[in-house]
Amino acid sequence: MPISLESVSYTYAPGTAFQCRAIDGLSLTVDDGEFVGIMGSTGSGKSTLIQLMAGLLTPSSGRVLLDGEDIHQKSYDRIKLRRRVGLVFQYPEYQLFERTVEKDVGFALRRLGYGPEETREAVRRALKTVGLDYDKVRDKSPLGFSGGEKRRIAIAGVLASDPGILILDEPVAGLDPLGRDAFLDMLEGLNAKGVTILMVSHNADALSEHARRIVTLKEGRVFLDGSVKEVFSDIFALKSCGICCGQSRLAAELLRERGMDIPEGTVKYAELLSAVLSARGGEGK
Amino acid sequence: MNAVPTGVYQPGSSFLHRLCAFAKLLCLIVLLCAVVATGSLSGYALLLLFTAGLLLLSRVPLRSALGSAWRLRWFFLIILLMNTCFFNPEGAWFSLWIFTPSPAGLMQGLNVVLRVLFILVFSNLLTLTTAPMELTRAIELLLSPLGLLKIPVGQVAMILSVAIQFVPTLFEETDMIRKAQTARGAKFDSPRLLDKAGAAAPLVVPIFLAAFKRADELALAMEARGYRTDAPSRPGRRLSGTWRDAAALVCCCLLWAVQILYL
Repeated sequence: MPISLESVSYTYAPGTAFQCRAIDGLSLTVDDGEFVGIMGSTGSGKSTLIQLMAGLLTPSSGRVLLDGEDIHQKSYDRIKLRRRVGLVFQYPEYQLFERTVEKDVGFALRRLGYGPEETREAVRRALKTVGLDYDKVRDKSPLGFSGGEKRRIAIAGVLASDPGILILDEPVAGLDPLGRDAFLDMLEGLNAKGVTILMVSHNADALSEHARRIVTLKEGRVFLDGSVKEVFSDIFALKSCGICCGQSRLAAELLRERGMDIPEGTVKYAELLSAVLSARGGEGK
Repeated sequence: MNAVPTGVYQPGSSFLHRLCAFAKLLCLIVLLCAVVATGSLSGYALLLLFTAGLLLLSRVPLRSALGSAWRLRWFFLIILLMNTCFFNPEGAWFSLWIFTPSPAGLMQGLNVVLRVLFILVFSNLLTLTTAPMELTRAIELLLSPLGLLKIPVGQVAMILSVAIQFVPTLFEETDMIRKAQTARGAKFDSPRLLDKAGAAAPLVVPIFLAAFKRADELALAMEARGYRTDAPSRPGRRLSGTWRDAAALVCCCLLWAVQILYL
């Protein structure tokens, strides 16, 4: 189910002193099964963009289409939208409120009209996806867990309704390195099962390892849009919209400047490693 | 922030914006006295003219200046009707069951409603044209004589300013959590009362948790930077009034005098 924006604009608080155009005539299409990273400096419109895509904000002009249907039409079924598009906000652990983990993860399902049996199965599956044991955690209060676990519970609450499109706003901020890797692997796993993933992040390392397409925003418009290799090829263009490329890409650049034979388009750690090994092999070491 | 609520500071550079906060606060107090001293229709007409002048001077959009009054329209209407119908059984136009509408009651109702309305609009204008931090400083200055009675004015002002500072933050946070829960299928905009009641928990619980956490962190951060409640109060700030502030205050006092003496 492709999701596309057609010359969408969004203005905050129009007609007041706080008026601010966050998105300015932006067009973008994301196809089924893509893993898209969205980057941009603070205030470039990333958060507004994903809220428009999830139907939480109504565009000032332009259309947002899901499967070719305008989601902001009056007649569009909101429940269908909520089932299809899952949205994970920054620090999702702040949205926990129920007395037990089971109830909190199942909250969306109850709202969307699932039966009790269906709900239990979906909750079990969602908790398993985020690496928690349903039987161990179901009756505990979600507020008693550690920060990382709370985040996993909150994300399970979004995954429970089995969304075909998952939109995440800076989901790895504040996670420890192990938690971050586990989380990103989980996203890869979902993507492999056909879930479309849109991830907003400043973390260029995470995106260059896992995303397949990068969209960068600048002043409410799409600045660069292409594969990871294409977008990260021009470090200076990236810098001009306040983005740094990943460590591996940077290391490749520095090594090439010092005369090592590293091929263009080396962005991932594994690629860098094999490029360095083969370059040194070529020197006869 | 999606919708800017009425009554929240709107930056600007009008005459009212540039007045010093302390002068504006004094003006508001004088104006409240003038409103209370008003009792005749010609007095209210004068107040209306004065208010129109203030609105022009402030250059804030009418919607934000009068929005809160408009939202209370049913309340005002009911107060007016009740006063008219029940105030004075003698001299009534007619009597129907328990209702005895009378001219004296109508006047009494108008008195109550118009006074509240004017006070509402005046205080709205103050908060619309004054940055919250300046306002708390003005309140601190106004209350400072109470320090002689060993009332901790500095702490009260600190509490006020911290509370006011965090209103936008809490507002944003509420907005964020509301959106997050909406994305999970919560219905906040449903017209059904049952849905609305059910929507409270997903919103209220996270907001309270976040607010407590934030308060804890802020208290630690303030103590870490040396804030103590028993510390000697900061030296008083100098008043820096200009001719504008004086003129505004004189105008308000004149209005009060006219209301008492002539109308």
